[in-house]
Amino acid sequence: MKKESLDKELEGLSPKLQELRRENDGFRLPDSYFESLEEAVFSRLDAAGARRQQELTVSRGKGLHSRLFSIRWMATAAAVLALILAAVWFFKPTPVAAPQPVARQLTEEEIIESYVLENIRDFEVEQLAALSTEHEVESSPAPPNQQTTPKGGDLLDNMSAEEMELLLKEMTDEELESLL
Amino acid sequence: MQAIATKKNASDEQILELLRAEGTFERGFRLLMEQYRERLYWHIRRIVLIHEDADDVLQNTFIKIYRGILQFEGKSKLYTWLYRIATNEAITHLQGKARHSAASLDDSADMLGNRLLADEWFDGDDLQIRLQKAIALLPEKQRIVFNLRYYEELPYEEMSAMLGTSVGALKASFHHAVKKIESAFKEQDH
Repeated sequence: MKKESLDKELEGLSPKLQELRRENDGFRLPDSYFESLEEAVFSRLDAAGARRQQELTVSRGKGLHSRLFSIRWMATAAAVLALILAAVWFFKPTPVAAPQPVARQLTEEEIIESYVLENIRDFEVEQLAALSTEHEVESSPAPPNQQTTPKGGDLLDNMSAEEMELLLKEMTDEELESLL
Repeated sequence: MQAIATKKNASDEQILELLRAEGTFERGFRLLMEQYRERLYWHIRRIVLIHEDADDVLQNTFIKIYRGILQFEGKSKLYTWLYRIATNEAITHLQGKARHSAASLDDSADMLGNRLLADEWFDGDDLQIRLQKAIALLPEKQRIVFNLRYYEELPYEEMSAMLGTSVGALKASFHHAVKKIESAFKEQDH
């Protein structure tokens, strides 16, 4: 249909060109040229690095390759992470164990003691006795069977002469009696 | 989908479907090459004439298609898009050669004739060589219109979509080209 149409068109325009169309135009090409063309194109795409990577994997039928690659990648990442954590742990500056708690404890005891002594007037005898008992229990725990009776006298035993004098001056007779 | 890939006369839609689907791009591209390689080869060969050049241009064309096919939006027919790329590649190739030799159009036509004679893949007679020289003397667009109509018998409507020129202008261009070739023959006869 199309050919007839062109022939018709050429008929009036150029009978010579119409005649030439029926002859061999002389153009040839190598045998199996088109069969080799595909690979030539893909070789050039490979050389240019333009071939789609995903397609390369799929076309080779080795999806396993990509899976292995990702597993290897994850294992490497995990190893690197473990190494970093180990290095951080190893080189971490260890805090020096300062004898602070002991010092603090001693200081607190001393502070309490001096506070009590300074303000001994403000304490009730029972409070002083209880404080003394607590102090004893903490410092030297009594044997299970030994009864520990709180005695205000124990506190007085540990007082210096000056402290004792000061205390006695402040105490009323009734307070002194009850203590005894 | 598997059946489509082995079918030589797959439709453009089937080829595009393979190209766009995940994991079947290469299969679709091979099918596209199989489908269009001969038509594109002859289209290019008519423009550049020498087999070696046509081979080079065709490979460049397919590489361009490979890289750009996913940008094809389907606004035109697939072969129209492919022909446009092939035509541009062939013209770029010829322009590169002309720049390299810095020859005039007449000289270029003579050189082309001589190269054609030297091409082992051309065995046309004297009349065919004269025809090719006359075609080579045509302006670029006229030459393409002449080749598409004379050798490939492409309807003007399809040519119009491919070249972005009106049917009337294409008809006029073809007629003009035919007349020029006629007069070139006459001049050569004298």
